[in-house]
Amino acid sequence: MKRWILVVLCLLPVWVQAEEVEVRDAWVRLPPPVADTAAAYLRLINHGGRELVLLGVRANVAGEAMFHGPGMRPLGTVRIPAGGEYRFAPGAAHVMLMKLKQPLHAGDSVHLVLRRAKGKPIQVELPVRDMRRLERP
Amino acid sequence: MWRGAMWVVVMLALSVGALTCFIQHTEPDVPAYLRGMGGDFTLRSAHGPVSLHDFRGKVGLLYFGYTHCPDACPMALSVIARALRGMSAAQRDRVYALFVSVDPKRDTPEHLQAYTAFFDRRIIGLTGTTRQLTALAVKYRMDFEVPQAPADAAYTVRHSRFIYLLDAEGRVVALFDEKTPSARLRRALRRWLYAASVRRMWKDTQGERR
Repeated sequence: MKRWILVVLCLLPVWVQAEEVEVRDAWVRLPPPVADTAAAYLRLINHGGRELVLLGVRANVAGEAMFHGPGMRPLGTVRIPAGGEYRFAPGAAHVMLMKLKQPLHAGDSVHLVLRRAKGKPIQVELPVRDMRRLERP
Repeated sequence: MWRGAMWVVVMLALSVGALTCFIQHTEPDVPAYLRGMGGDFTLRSAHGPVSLHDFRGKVGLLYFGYTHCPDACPMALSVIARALRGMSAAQRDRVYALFVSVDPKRDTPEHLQAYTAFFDRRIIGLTGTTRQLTALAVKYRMDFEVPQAPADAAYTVRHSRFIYLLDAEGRVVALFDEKTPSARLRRALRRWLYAASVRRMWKDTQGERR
């Protein structure tokens, strides 16, 4: 019994950390093989009690990555208030992946690291989706 | 005798009037703000020069963008590709789609062709000199901004996101964008195809056809 309580206590910080920021609807649009850019989309929900400030992003498949607001405007930081959310969604804000290291394929997995002002970076796995025949992701 | 002739003339005038009215109404309404927008142009494709007037008699889609565009352009080209795919072969033969790159520094006609073929082989990639593209942007009332950067820099281009629908005379008759459902775009294409065939039949009967 005592041992179980110990295990739960040890896991508690991990659980709290994981629950603070929820990531949903994460995916990458499959670009044409000749393109060296791609857009990543995700919804970030801040369940924490403090504002979440994202300072930057890295992607394993891209030489460079950055946040883009609607109209291709680069965003230096992304601020998500406590209890709020931010959507990177088609036709609006997106994570721009530049200088792709190799052509992507449908079904590939892309790893994003979102750097926070405070706390551990957020790690996200995003599937690559071929949207040529789909009306919606 | 006179009365009979009068009747014939009146009936004839009425039926011509009705027919003209019918033909005019097969063409969907064009919003006033689109009048005078657009116009002919000649740009470069991977297979040589292409002019808008080459497509006279066909209904077209036109989109301005660039190939390093990760979001709006692939969305627009996917919508166009899906709209085309849902049409019959006979309808598709009378429809064309043009993707004009406003980033000629990086987008060669060959690169453009490889890019558009990913979405649909029927989409023709075009570009021109900065001067040609600026003149075209004025005609089509679109904005674009290519930063002063070397071609190998990872820059982004801001641009308007309209999908222009062009009638059989090459006039801009409707605007859509990358968020338009492909079924809506396809419906609009079909309506304008129908309008074009009615107009052609009418011209045939009038002997006006070139």
